[in-house]
Amino acid sequence: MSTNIIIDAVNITKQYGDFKALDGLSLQVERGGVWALLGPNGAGKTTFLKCLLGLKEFSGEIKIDGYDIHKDPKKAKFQIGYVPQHPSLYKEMSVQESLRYFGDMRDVKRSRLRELLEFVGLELWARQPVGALSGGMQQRLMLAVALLSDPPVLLLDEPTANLDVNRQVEFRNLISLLVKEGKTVVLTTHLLGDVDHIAEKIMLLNKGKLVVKSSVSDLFKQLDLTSQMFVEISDNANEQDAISALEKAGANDIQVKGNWFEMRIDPSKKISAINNLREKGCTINDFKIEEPNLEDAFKKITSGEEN
Amino acid sequence: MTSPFLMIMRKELKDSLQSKWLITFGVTFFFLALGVPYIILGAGGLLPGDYPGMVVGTLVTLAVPLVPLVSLAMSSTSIAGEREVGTMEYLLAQPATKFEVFFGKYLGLVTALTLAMFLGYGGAELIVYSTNPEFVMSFIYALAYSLLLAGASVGLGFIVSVSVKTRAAAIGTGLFLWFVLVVIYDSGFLGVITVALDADSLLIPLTLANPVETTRILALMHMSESPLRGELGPQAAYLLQEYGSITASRILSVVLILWVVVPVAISYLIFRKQDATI
Repeated sequence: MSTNIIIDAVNITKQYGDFKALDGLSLQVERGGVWALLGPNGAGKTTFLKCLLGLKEFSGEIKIDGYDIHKDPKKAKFQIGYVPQHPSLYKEMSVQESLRYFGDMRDVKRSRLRELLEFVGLELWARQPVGALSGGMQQRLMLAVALLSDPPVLLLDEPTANLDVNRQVEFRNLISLLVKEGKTVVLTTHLLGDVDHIAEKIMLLNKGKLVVKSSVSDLFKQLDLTSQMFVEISDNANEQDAISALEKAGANDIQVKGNWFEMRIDPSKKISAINNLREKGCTINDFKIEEPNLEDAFKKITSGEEN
Repeated sequence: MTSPFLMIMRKELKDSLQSKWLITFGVTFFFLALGVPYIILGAGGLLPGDYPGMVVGTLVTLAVPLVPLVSLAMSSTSIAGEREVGTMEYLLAQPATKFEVFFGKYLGLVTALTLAMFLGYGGAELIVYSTNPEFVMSFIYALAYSLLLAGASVGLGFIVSVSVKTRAAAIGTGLFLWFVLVVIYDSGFLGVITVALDADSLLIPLTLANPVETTRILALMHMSESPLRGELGPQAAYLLQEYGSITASRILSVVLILWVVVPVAISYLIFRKQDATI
């Protein structure tokens, strides 16, 4: 199957008693790149991820690369590699045995196991029991298991939540390599730093519904979230010339505090503002930029939903 | 590709054979089945010719409480234990159906119990019956019914396992079930109820409502030559009186087979409709 839509979820509802964890959710994920599934606690992120794997009973239809998870669960799950939030391998099995066990289920050649051990940097630990590995190593082993049959889709549930900073960086680098190979990665996270670092596109859920699906930059535009720029200009510059140069570049809400000019500006127009100031003969002593962040976007969207 | 069903069954079999429960059960059963009297009498060359006939009754008496104990303890934790540590969810995220996961685990466990019984039970009896093969059919019946009882107990244990959230709750419920099926039933409560209600007809349904009792009576009924056949009890006597030996035996066999099939079917239906974690 090679349509551009790799995950197609239509009208997904998952109910626990009176509580609707997913409320008629429909979304399509295009092939390739890293998609972050975001939302406040209880928004339905993990529930949706588990529905994609057929781990939860739900109403609606989910197709993974064209295979229906209800009607053809084995083929659908064959297209997915899954890394749960908490390591869930058999603790008594060795690293090698774990890869063999899950590899045999997916008809994976032994040479592939060696490749994956090297890829996740666990070749020296191959004979160790899984229970003896650190949390970070277990996470990397789970990624290796998820990649066994080279599936086109990777689902990662809070992949870096239990890792220290160095392990988080390592894990993100591994994911970046996989995306370059053409994989589609869908991850849930509550760490917006993860999204800033690796995700190009986001899907924001709230109360079991899809609120936003967009690239990060488009989201900032949609929400009118701009960069905050501060520029210090030398004493001899003309204040009015500087303001008009900045306005010409699209800056607004310009405030002057001594030699510092503070403004809001579209992130893509920062360089134009600097160039315009130089053309007007202003000498720039210093500048700093505060980029819009997902936290602001997140708050803006969810507060809008509340209202 | 190795079928996920076979992979899961093989792992369950391996894990079960390494379980302390099963090893203790196998070894205990071997020595209990062999019998201390056999060792003492055999050493003194005083073994009576009908010793195997005497022992086969003891075997049933041993199997009736022990087989459901070990089967319920192991099966009740089989799914609940994996759910608790997250491995069940991970297994179900692999290209395996719920049917393959469930029956892979079920058959792996039943195979492990069968092996333990053949080795523990059968090994001892091979030694005993080498002295007198006359009672071999009684032994085969006793072993066959014990295996059916193990199948029924594993099915009941799986109902417990799919219905509770933790390993501790599973083993607690499993042992409580064993207590009801073995200890409570054995405490004469059937007699009290039937006498109190003056309803002998309740004796049969109440007996058939318990796979342990069904097995015990069925196995003892086949020991026509055993000196211990006299221990059949009031339920069996009533059954024999009402239906005769052949029909009673057929009824009990069908019921025991139902006890193997129905609980496992019920537990699978529950499992199939559940989320991977409950």
